[in-house]
Amino acid sequence: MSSGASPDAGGTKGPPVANQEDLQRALTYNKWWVEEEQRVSSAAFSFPDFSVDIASIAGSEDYTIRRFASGTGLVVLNCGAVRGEGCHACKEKDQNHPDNEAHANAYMPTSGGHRKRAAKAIAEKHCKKVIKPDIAAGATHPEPPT
Amino acid sequence: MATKTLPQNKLCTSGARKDTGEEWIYASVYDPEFTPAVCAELDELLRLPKNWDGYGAPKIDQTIVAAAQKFVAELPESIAWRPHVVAMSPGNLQLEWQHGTKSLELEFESPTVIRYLQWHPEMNIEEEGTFRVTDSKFAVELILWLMAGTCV
Repeated sequence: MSSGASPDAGGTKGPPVANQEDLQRALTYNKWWVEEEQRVSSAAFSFPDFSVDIASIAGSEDYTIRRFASGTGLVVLNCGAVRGEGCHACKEKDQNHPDNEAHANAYMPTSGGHRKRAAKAIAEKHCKKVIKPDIAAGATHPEPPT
Repeated sequence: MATKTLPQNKLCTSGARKDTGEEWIYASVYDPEFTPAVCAELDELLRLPKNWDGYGAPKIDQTIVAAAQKFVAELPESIAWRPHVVAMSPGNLQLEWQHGTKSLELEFESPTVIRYLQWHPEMNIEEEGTFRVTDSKFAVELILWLMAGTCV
Protein backbone atom coordinates (compact mmCIF):
# COMPACT_ATOMS: atom_id res chain seq x y z
CA MET A 1 0.00 0.00 0.00
CA SER A 2 1.15 3.50 -0.57
CA SER A 3 0.49 6.92 0.81
CA GLY A 4 1.80 9.31 -1.75
CA ALA A 5 5.36 8.12 -1.99
CA SER A 6 5.71 6.51 -5.37
CA PRO A 7 6.78 2.88 -5.29
CA ASP A 8 7.92 3.40 -8.85
CA ALA A 9 11.22 4.96 -7.95
CA GLY A 10 12.94 2.48 -10.23
CA GLY A 11 10.85 3.68 -13.15
CA THR A 12 9.07 0.41 -13.87
CA LYS A 13 5.34 0.23 -13.36
CA GLY A 14 3.35 -2.96 -13.25
CA PRO A 15 0.94 -3.99 -16.00
CA PRO A 16 -2.03 -1.67 -16.54
CA VAL A 17 -5.33 -2.76 -15.08
CA ALA A 18 -7.99 -3.33 -17.77
CA ASN A 19 -10.52 -0.54 -18.25
CA GLN A 20 -13.49 -2.76 -17.51
CA GLU A 21 -12.23 -3.60 -14.03
CA ASP A 22 -13.61 -1.94 -10.94
CA LEU A 23 -11.25 -0.65 -8.25
CA GLN A 24 -11.89 -0.58 -4.51
CA ARG A 25 -10.37 2.26 -2.51
CA ALA A 26 -10.63 2.11 1.28
CA LEU A 27 -11.86 5.26 3.05
CA THR A 28 -9.67 5.01 6.11
CA TYR A 29 -10.35 8.46 7.55
CA ASN A 30 -13.78 9.73 8.51
CA LYS A 31 -13.21 13.14 6.98
CA TRP A 32 -12.74 11.64 3.54
CA TRP A 33 -16.53 11.53 3.62
CA VAL A 34 -18.26 14.91 4.04
CA GLU A 35 -21.47 14.03 5.81
CA GLU A 36 -23.04 17.52 5.60
CA GLU A 37 -22.71 17.54 1.83
CA GLN A 38 -23.05 13.78 1.25
CA ARG A 39 -19.91 13.59 -0.85
CA VAL A 40 -16.48 12.03 -0.95
CA SER A 41 -13.61 14.46 -0.36
CA SER A 42 -11.05 14.69 -3.11
CA ALA A 43 -8.49 14.32 -0.31
CA ALA A 44 -9.06 10.56 -0.59
CA PHE A 45 -7.41 10.61 -4.03
CA SER A 46 -5.15 13.65 -4.02
CA PHE A 47 -1.75 11.97 -3.97
CA PRO A 48 0.84 11.16 -6.62
CA ASP A 49 -0.40 7.58 -6.26
CA PHE A 50 -2.78 5.67 -4.07
CA SER A 51 -3.62 2.06 -3.31
CA VAL A 52 -6.64 0.23 -4.66
CA ASP A 53 -7.76 -3.37 -4.94
CA ILE A 54 -8.99 -4.87 -8.20
CA ALA A 55 -12.56 -5.86 -7.40
CA SER A 56 -12.66 -8.99 -9.57
CA ILE A 57 -9.65 -10.41 -7.72
CA ALA A 58 -10.67 -9.13 -4.29
CA GLY A 59 -14.03 -10.81 -4.63
CA SER A 60 -15.74 -8.65 -2.04
CA GLU A 61 -15.65 -5.21 -0.50
CA ASP A 62 -14.87 -6.77 2.86
CA TYR A 63 -11.62 -8.10 1.41
CA THR A 64 -10.38 -4.52 1.14
CA ILE A 65 -11.94 -3.11 4.29
CA ARG A 66 -10.89 -5.82 6.72
CA ARG A 67 -7.22 -4.85 6.60
CA PHE A 68 -8.07 -1.59 8.33
CA ALA A 69 -9.74 -0.39 11.52
CA SER A 70 -13.36 -1.30 12.12
CA GLY A 71 -15.67 1.23 10.49
CA THR A 72 -13.43 1.84 7.48
CA GLY A 73 -15.42 2.85 4.40
CA LEU A 74 -14.87 2.22 0.73
CA VAL A 75 -15.48 3.61 -2.74
CA VAL A 76 -15.77 1.66 -5.97
CA LEU A 77 -14.32 3.26 -9.10
CA ASN A 78 -14.30 2.05 -12.68
CA CYS A 79 -10.73 1.76 -13.93
CA GLY A 80 -11.49 3.09 -17.42
CA ALA A 81 -13.46 6.04 -16.06
CA VAL A 82 -10.66 7.20 -13.79
CA ARG A 83 -8.11 6.56 -16.54
CA GLY A 84 -10.06 9.11 -18.53
CA GLU A 85 -9.21 11.61 -15.80
CA GLY A 86 -5.51 10.80 -16.07
CA CYS A 87 -5.42 8.27 -13.22
CA HIS A 88 -3.71 5.07 -14.36
CA ALA A 89 -4.01 1.91 -12.28
CA CYS A 90 -1.19 -0.63 -12.51
CA LYS A 91 -1.20 -4.04 -10.87
CA GLU A 92 1.66 -3.98 -8.42
CA LYS A 93 2.71 -5.63 -5.23
CA ASP A 94 1.20 -4.40 -1.98
CA GLN A 95 4.25 -3.51 0.07
CA ASN A 96 2.24 -3.36 3.29
CA HIS A 97 0.34 -6.58 2.66
CA PRO A 98 2.41 -8.87 0.43
CA ASP A 99 -0.34 -11.49 0.41
CA ASN A 100 -2.81 -9.07 -1.18
CA GLU A 101 -3.04 -10.39 -4.74
CA ALA A 102 -5.69 -7.81 -5.71
CA HIS A 103 -3.52 -4.77 -5.15
CA ALA A 104 -2.84 -2.03 -7.69
CA ASN A 105 -1.40 1.46 -7.48
CA ALA A 106 -3.38 4.26 -9.09
CA TYR A 107 -1.04 6.90 -10.51
CA MET A 108 -2.34 10.43 -10.72
CA PRO A 109 -1.16 13.09 -13.19
CA THR A 110 2.14 14.52 -11.97
CA SER A 111 2.71 17.26 -14.52
CA GLY A 112 0.83 20.28 -15.68
CA GLY A 113 -0.87 20.95 -12.37
CA HIS A 114 -3.67 18.44 -12.87
CA ARG A 115 -3.47 16.36 -9.70
CA LYS A 116 -6.15 18.19 -7.76
CA ARG A 117 -8.38 18.48 -10.80
CA ALA A 118 -8.16 14.74 -11.41
CA ALA A 119 -8.79 13.96 -7.74
CA LYS A 120 -11.84 16.21 -7.69
CA ALA A 121 -13.20 14.70 -10.89
CA ILE A 122 -12.84 11.20 -9.45
CA ALA A 123 -14.54 12.22 -6.21
CA GLU A 124 -17.39 14.04 -7.93
CA LYS A 125 -18.06 11.89 -10.98
CA HIS A 126 -16.70 8.40 -10.62
CA CYS A 127 -17.60 6.94 -7.24
CA LYS A 128 -19.93 4.13 -8.34
CA LYS A 129 -20.54 3.01 -4.80
CA VAL A 130 -19.70 4.50 -1.43
CA ILE A 131 -19.61 2.85 1.98
CA LYS A 132 -19.32 5.73 4.43
CA PRO A 133 -16.47 5.50 6.93
CA ASP A 134 -17.49 5.46 10.58
CA ILE A 135 -14.31 4.80 12.49
CA ALA A 136 -14.63 5.16 16.24
CA ALA A 137 -12.66 7.92 17.92
CA GLY A 138 -9.39 6.53 19.16
CA ALA A 139 -9.48 3.50 16.87
CA THR A 140 -6.22 2.90 15.06
CA HIS A 141 -5.32 1.10 11.87
CA PRO A 142 -2.92 -1.83 11.98
CA GLU A 143 0.63 -0.62 11.52
CA PRO A 144 2.10 -1.35 8.10
CA PRO A 145 5.30 -3.38 8.26
CA THR A 146 8.47 -1.33 8.41
CA MET B 1 -26.99 41.96 10.24
CA ALA B 2 -28.09 38.56 11.41
CA THR B 3 -27.56 37.64 15.02
CA LYS B 4 -26.65 34.02 14.52
CA THR B 5 -24.80 31.81 12.09
CA LEU B 6 -26.72 31.50 8.89
CA PRO B 7 -27.06 28.03 7.46
CA GLN B 8 -25.55 27.60 4.03
CA ASN B 9 -28.93 27.30 2.36
CA LYS B 10 -30.04 30.68 3.66
CA LEU B 11 -27.21 32.59 2.09
CA CYS B 12 -27.42 34.99 -0.77
CA THR B 13 -24.31 36.86 -1.72
CA SER B 14 -23.88 39.62 -4.24
CA GLY B 15 -24.17 39.10 -7.94
CA ALA B 16 -26.12 39.92 -11.04
CA ARG B 17 -28.16 37.49 -13.08
CA LYS B 18 -27.74 38.07 -16.77
CA ASP B 19 -31.08 36.58 -17.68
CA THR B 20 -33.19 38.89 -15.54
CA GLY B 21 -30.86 41.79 -14.90
CA GLU B 22 -31.66 41.21 -11.26
CA GLU B 23 -29.17 42.61 -8.77
CA TRP B 24 -28.61 40.75 -5.56
CA ILE B 25 -27.89 42.45 -2.32
CA TYR B 26 -24.75 41.73 -0.34
CA ALA B 27 -25.49 39.44 2.57
CA SER B 28 -22.63 38.44 4.81
CA VAL B 29 -22.18 35.09 6.51
CA TYR B 30 -22.30 36.28 10.08
CA ASP B 31 -20.31 33.76 12.06
CA PRO B 32 -18.35 35.28 14.95
CA GLU B 33 -17.06 31.81 15.81
CA PHE B 34 -15.59 31.25 12.35
CA THR B 35 -11.95 31.77 13.29
CA PRO B 36 -11.91 29.92 16.65
CA ALA B 37 -13.99 27.07 15.26
CA VAL B 38 -11.84 26.53 12.18
CA CYS B 39 -8.63 26.93 14.17
CA ALA B 40 -9.89 24.35 16.66
CA GLU B 41 -10.57 21.93 13.81
CA LEU B 42 -7.05 22.54 12.58
CA ASP B 43 -5.74 21.82 16.07
CA GLU B 44 -7.60 18.51 15.98
CA LEU B 45 -5.45 17.44 13.04
CA LEU B 46 -2.41 17.55 15.31
CA ARG B 47 -3.97 14.79 17.41
CA LEU B 48 -3.95 12.35 14.51
CA PRO B 49 -1.40 9.63 15.23
CA LYS B 50 1.19 8.37 12.80
CA ASN B 51 -0.47 6.01 10.30
CA TRP B 52 -3.81 7.79 10.79
CA ASP B 53 -4.81 6.82 7.24
CA GLY B 54 -3.80 3.17 7.53
CA TYR B 55 -1.32 3.62 4.68
CA GLY B 56 1.58 4.81 6.81
CA ALA B 57 0.84 8.55 6.78
CA PRO B 58 3.06 10.75 8.94
CA LYS B 59 1.65 13.02 11.61
CA ILE B 60 0.29 16.30 10.29
CA ASP B 61 3.01 18.93 10.02
CA GLN B 62 2.72 21.36 12.92
CA THR B 63 4.18 24.23 10.91
CA ILE B 64 1.56 23.75 8.21
CA VAL B 65 -1.24 23.77 10.79
CA ALA B 66 0.18 26.98 12.26
CA ALA B 67 0.36 28.56 8.80
CA ALA B 68 -3.25 27.57 8.09
CA GLN B 69 -4.41 28.99 11.40
CA LYS B 70 -2.68 32.29 10.67
CA PHE B 71 -4.23 32.30 7.21
CA VAL B 72 -7.73 31.69 8.61
CA ALA B 73 -7.31 34.31 11.32
CA GLU B 74 -6.39 36.93 8.73
CA LEU B 75 -9.39 36.35 6.46
CA PRO B 76 -11.91 39.18 6.43
CA GLU B 77 -14.83 38.73 8.77
CA SER B 78 -18.00 37.23 7.34
CA ILE B 79 -16.37 36.18 4.09
CA ALA B 80 -17.66 32.62 3.94
CA TRP B 81 -19.15 29.76 5.82
CA ARG B 82 -16.81 27.37 7.61
CA PRO B 83 -14.74 25.13 5.34
CA HIS B 84 -14.39 21.38 5.63
CA VAL B 85 -10.97 20.84 7.23
CA VAL B 86 -9.30 17.64 6.10
CA ALA B 87 -5.92 16.02 6.63
CA MET B 88 -3.89 14.87 3.64
CA SER B 89 -1.81 11.71 3.69
CA PRO B 90 1.56 13.40 2.99
CA GLY B 91 1.12 15.23 6.31
CA ASN B 92 -0.43 18.45 5.06
CA LEU B 93 -4.06 19.65 5.03
CA GLN B 94 -6.83 21.11 2.92
CA LEU B 95 -9.71 23.53 3.37
CA GLU B 96 -12.75 22.75 1.19
CA TRP B 97 -15.81 24.80 0.43
CA GLN B 98 -18.58 23.35 -1.69
CA HIS B 99 -21.83 24.80 -2.94
CA GLY B 100 -23.68 22.45 -5.25
CA THR B 101 -21.28 21.61 -8.05
CA LYS B 102 -19.15 24.68 -7.35
CA SER B 103 -16.23 24.22 -5.03
CA LEU B 104 -12.95 25.66 -3.86
CA GLU B 105 -10.07 23.71 -2.37
CA LEU B 106 -7.07 25.29 -0.68
CA GLU B 107 -4.39 22.70 -0.01
CA PHE B 108 -1.52 23.85 2.18
CA GLU B 109 1.32 22.03 0.46
CA SER B 110 3.84 23.63 2.79
CA PRO B 111 3.81 26.42 5.36
CA THR B 112 4.33 28.91 2.53
CA VAL B 113 2.50 27.53 -0.53
CA ILE B 114 -1.18 26.84 -1.18
CA ARG B 115 -2.31 24.76 -4.14
CA TYR B 116 -5.84 25.71 -5.09
CA LEU B 117 -8.60 24.23 -7.20
CA GLN B 118 -11.53 26.23 -8.51
CA TRP B 119 -14.13 23.76 -9.68
CA HIS B 120 -17.36 24.56 -11.45
CA PRO B 121 -17.77 22.16 -14.37
CA GLU B 122 -21.09 23.65 -15.44
CA MET B 123 -19.20 26.86 -16.22
CA ASN B 124 -16.15 25.01 -17.61
CA ILE B 125 -14.05 26.19 -14.67
CA GLU B 126 -11.45 23.67 -13.49
CA GLU B 127 -8.52 25.87 -12.52
CA GLU B 128 -5.58 24.58 -10.52
CA GLY B 129 -2.55 26.54 -9.42
CA THR B 130 -0.45 27.74 -6.52
CA PHE B 131 0.00 30.95 -4.59
CA ARG B 132 1.90 32.14 -1.54
CA VAL B 133 0.17 31.79 1.82
CA THR B 134 0.88 35.48 2.37
CA ASP B 135 -1.04 36.48 -0.77
CA SER B 136 -4.26 37.11 1.11
CA LYS B 137 -5.63 39.30 -1.69
CA PHE B 138 -5.64 36.36 -4.09
CA ALA B 139 -7.09 34.06 -1.44
CA VAL B 140 -9.93 36.49 -0.80
CA GLU B 141 -10.62 36.70 -4.55
CA LEU B 142 -10.90 32.91 -4.70
CA ILE B 143 -13.28 32.76 -1.74
CA LEU B 144 -15.39 35.56 -3.14
CA TRP B 145 -15.55 33.67 -6.42
CA LEU B 146 -17.00 30.71 -4.54
CA MET B 147 -19.48 32.84 -2.68
CA ALA B 148 -20.55 35.01 -5.59
CA GLY B 149 -24.10 34.40 -6.58
CA THR B 150 -24.66 31.57 -4.15
CA CYS B 151 -28.35 31.64 -3.44
CA VAL B 152 -30.50 28.59 -2.92
